[in-house]
Amino acid sequence: MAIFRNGTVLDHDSWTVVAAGAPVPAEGDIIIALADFIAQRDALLGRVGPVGVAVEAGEELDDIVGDLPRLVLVALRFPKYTDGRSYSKARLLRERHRYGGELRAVGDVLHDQIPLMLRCGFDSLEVTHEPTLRALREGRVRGVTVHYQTSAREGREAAPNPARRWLRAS
Amino acid sequence: MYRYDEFDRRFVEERVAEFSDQVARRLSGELSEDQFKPLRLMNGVYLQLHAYMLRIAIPYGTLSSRQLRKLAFIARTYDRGYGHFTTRQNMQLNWIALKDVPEILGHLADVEMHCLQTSGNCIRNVTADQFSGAAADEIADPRPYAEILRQWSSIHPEFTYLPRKFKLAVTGAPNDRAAIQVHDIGLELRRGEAGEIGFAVYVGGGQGRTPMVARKVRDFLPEAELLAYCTAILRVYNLYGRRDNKFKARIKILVHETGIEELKRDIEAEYEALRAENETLSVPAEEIARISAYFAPPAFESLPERSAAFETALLRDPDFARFVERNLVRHKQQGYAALTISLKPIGLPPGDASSSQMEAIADIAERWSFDEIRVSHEQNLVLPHVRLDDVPLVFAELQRNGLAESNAGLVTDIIACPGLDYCSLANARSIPIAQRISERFADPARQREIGDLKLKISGCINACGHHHVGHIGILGVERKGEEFYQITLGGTGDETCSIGEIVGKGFSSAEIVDAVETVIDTYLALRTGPDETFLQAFRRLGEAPFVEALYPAKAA
Amino acid sequence: MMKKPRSATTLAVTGNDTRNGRAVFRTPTGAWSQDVSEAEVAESKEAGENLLARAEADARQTIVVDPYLIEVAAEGDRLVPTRLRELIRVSGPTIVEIGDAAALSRAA
Ligand code: SF4
Repeated sequence: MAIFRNGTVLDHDSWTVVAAGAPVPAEGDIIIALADFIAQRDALLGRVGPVGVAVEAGEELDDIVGDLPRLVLVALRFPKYTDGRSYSKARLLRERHRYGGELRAVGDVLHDQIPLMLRCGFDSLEVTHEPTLRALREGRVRGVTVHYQTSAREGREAAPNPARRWLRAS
Repeated sequence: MYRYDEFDRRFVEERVAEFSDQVARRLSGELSEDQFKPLRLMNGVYLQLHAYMLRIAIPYGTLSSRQLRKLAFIARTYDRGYGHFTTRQNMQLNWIALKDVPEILGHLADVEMHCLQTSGNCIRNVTADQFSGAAADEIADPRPYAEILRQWSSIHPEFTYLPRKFKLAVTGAPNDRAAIQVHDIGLELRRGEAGEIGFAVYVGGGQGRTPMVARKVRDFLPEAELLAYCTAILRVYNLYGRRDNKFKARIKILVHETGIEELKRDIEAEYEALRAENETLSVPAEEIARISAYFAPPAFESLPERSAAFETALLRDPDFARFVERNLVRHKQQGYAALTISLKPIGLPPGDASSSQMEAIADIAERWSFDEIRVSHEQNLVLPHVRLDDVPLVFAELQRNGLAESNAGLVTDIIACPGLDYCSLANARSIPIAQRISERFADPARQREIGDLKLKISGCINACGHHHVGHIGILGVERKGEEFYQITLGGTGDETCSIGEIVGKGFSSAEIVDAVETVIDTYLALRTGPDETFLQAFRRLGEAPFVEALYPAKAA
Repeated sequence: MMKKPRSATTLAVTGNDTRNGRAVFRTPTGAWSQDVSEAEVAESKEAGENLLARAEADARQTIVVDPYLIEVAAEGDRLVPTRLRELIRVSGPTIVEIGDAAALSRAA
């Protein structure tokens, strides 16, 4: 497993994923399941180390929306790469709730969906698929770089033709 | 017609490169079939019984002569010299090799075409009335809006992995020829009180296993709000549409299970929030004007209402008169007509055209129809703008090419999906049934006596042949290894949309043509007169007399 | 027309060629052929599973797509699939294709 972040593949990740229901370590960066976060919210937010929350594809964002400023990371799962719910949730987090922390795609993260994930606001990806990792390392994950929609990356994509207001180029 | 600019060209070129890379990774083994399948479907590549099939997008069914010639060339070079026009205004090639697809996409890109999103669980090719820009009853041309939607939906970052496929259709006329009420989103162009343009919005129609007529969620959506509103619908669907069961994943099931009122509230709330946070979703009047300019009416001459050449031909040539009676549609421009080219010759596969026929039609359109051809969801082609003076010449050319079948809207103008002759999902064959029915009713006088009748055949419950909305629908099923056919009656996809009712147990392949004839004879015997169409008669009589005629033993 | 006489169940394995999509059948040498009569046959359930396992290994090697077992019957020295669907995969559409003659024969 490796993390793709800011254009590079990192083989080490500072984050530890706490198994569902397992005790929370006192120190270190932890990612905790949404249900556990809700159950231990006050203790977790009072903790010294950074806290991230993992949201499954079928779970709602409602319970973390108020705490977003204090969450250093939110992980959204793609249980299968064909399950597209986390795209919408990523956009909601970025564009509606103005979430500014790390937004991580976890689960079935593959080559051909990565360009879409980045446009929906993910800035880190947990990748296990070897060919995908290789393609990332070799800079072969491009997709189509001109777009007919704005995205959660507004400000970081060029607007090539002001007369056609929603065109973007990444 | 819409023309690509620099940006649009770059988009399709990069898309060709992306898909070529995906094909190369598949052939090298880097991608497994499970990983590749959704990617190839997103590019219209199916694996059918005999080979890969390629579905080429014909956005809102509009083609230029140059484009149609390119389709003919591709069919001849990479396939078996013919193409199949589908109920979604696309064209399918049945014998494609995967390794050739990148090259074919390159040829398509040369004429501003692609295969993007002609399959897969994404927003599909947007369809529209085949008589757009020509029909006398049109409020406004729907194609500029369909083009705006085409662009917006192309590789949408958020809506490319939906619970299931998602289809949009737009009609510009109150007489709905685009079957909008059996689409996931149906849009009907309207004028508001001050003459401004907007849409009635329908959601949740669809055919397949659980056919449903769409529900209206908006009476009047201003045109500028089109993208914001569609984005809202798609987001609600993407988040809450069912993903646990493929057969319950269409938005129609979400509408059904959530209830239209609650879903409408969700959509409206999402729409308000989107409007507030993303002003690029509102479509400026200048952009609508810019796109509309591509669809401006061609340089029509001002012609008298009547044409001597046309009227002489009507008197002299009974074949021509029959063609005019069925295949000519009144045009909004005086002195012009729109003509349907039937791809339903008696006894041949519905919707198929050979490469030479495509080329002949391209020549005719170039000479006599301002270079334009349309594809209808009835699997026919249309010459949208022909001078009345020229109609006799066009008819003669069509006759020479075996394309002058005068049966538009008649019992032999059958919609049929590819069925078990090609399709890997099929339970039974569709095309041979269509062929036998059309042979049974081949007599032109008999067809005309029967009048308007839409007969639609699907080879399985996926309903690509629209059987649910056929006045007479036929559904192929398999029973103990044999092909059987169920009959539904009383469906229609127009503005009075209804789903046909199954009349009883299915008929064997040997029995089905007789059964159809029984239904039609029953109608002829019971109608109040030639003015009462099959659908009107069915709505007056109900299914009882037809059931009695079909299953005499049961009724006794 | 659809029912073929058959004695004991005879199985063959089929799939589609990954490159051109054509219906193919695994032969005793491990190659894949468009001619069903060249197929390796299995006369028992176990032999069938064994045949399918080898076909699935070929699928992992990107040679074929989605292999599965079909029933075949011997007719003289030929093999004929018993199900209509498989018969159509072997012998082509049951309708007249209207393509241009040259393209039809070239691609056949
Ligand atoms: S209706 Fe069924 S048989 Fe016909 S084309 Fe669609 S999936 Fe295939």
